[in-house]
Amino acid sequence: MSTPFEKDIATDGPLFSVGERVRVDDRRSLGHCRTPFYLRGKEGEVIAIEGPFRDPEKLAYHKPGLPAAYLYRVRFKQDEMWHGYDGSARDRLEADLFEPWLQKASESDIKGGA
Amino acid sequence: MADPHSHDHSHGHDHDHAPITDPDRPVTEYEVLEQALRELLIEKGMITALDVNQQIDATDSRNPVFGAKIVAKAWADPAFKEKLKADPRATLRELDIEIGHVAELRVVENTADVHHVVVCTLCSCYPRMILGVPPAWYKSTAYRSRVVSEPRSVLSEFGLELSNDTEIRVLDSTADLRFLVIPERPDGTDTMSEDDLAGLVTRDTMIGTARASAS
Repeated sequence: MSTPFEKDIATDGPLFSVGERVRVDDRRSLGHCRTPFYLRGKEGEVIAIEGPFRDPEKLAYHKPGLPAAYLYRVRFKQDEMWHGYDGSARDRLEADLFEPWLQKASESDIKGGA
Repeated sequence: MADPHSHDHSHGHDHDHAPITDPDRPVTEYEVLEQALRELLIEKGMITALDVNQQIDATDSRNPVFGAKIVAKAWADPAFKEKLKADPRATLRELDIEIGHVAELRVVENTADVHHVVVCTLCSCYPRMILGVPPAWYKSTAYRSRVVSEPRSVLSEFGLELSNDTEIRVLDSTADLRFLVIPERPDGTDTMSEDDLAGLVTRDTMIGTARASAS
């Protein structure tokens, strides 16, 4: 996988690894943020670590966006996301989410594999 | 001074002094803001009118034909396709295509088993560096809200029926990645040239709302 165009902004991390189950924080946000509401509280699997990117929640207010935040591609099962999902059990949705919005899915949250 | 835009324009030269605006509707607040900001930046010497014009020109010169050539090359040359998927920025640089520093590009491939369709639910993120300006429907609330929760119905409204044997993967470009879909190469195109193949690759096939067709 290619690295982001800015390689020198890495901070600690990444905290999560590919294949790991994560849960999107179900918290409120004020102002600009790149975490859609429909994903908050949902669980998915990390499928790629895209590297550090400047934090959009700071960039939006003309700050340098540092420290940078790790960006992950996370894959969700559609039939777990939408009540009465009308499609295949194989259908997935992927989104790009920043590390500060993710937490490790707790053992009790995990209901079978991805 | 009188309003410079209110005078009669039939005074001997072939251009209009007023910015070109859509005459069918009033100017919006954001358009006024854009104009004020642009004029201020030019007045302060931070950018020139030429910079603005060149950037608009550069943006407009990117259109789906651009992406179609890349897809056709990927269809014709499997080694290129693998390189493109692994490192789009470096691979496209070899073709003198610069991804730029707005976002990273990711390339996914549609097959009989997996069908990707791209959306930006938060705004209108789109691989402009490859496909140019997004179509109006891509920015509509209806597409953005519905394709994530009922992709099969939405694709069916685009005329694309997919069986439940095909996994649908909705890609929500929520952050710094933009997605280019390589559609499945249609059957019966083995002898076609790269140029002819490019003619089969429409904008919608690269968003994932259509399949490429040989006819």
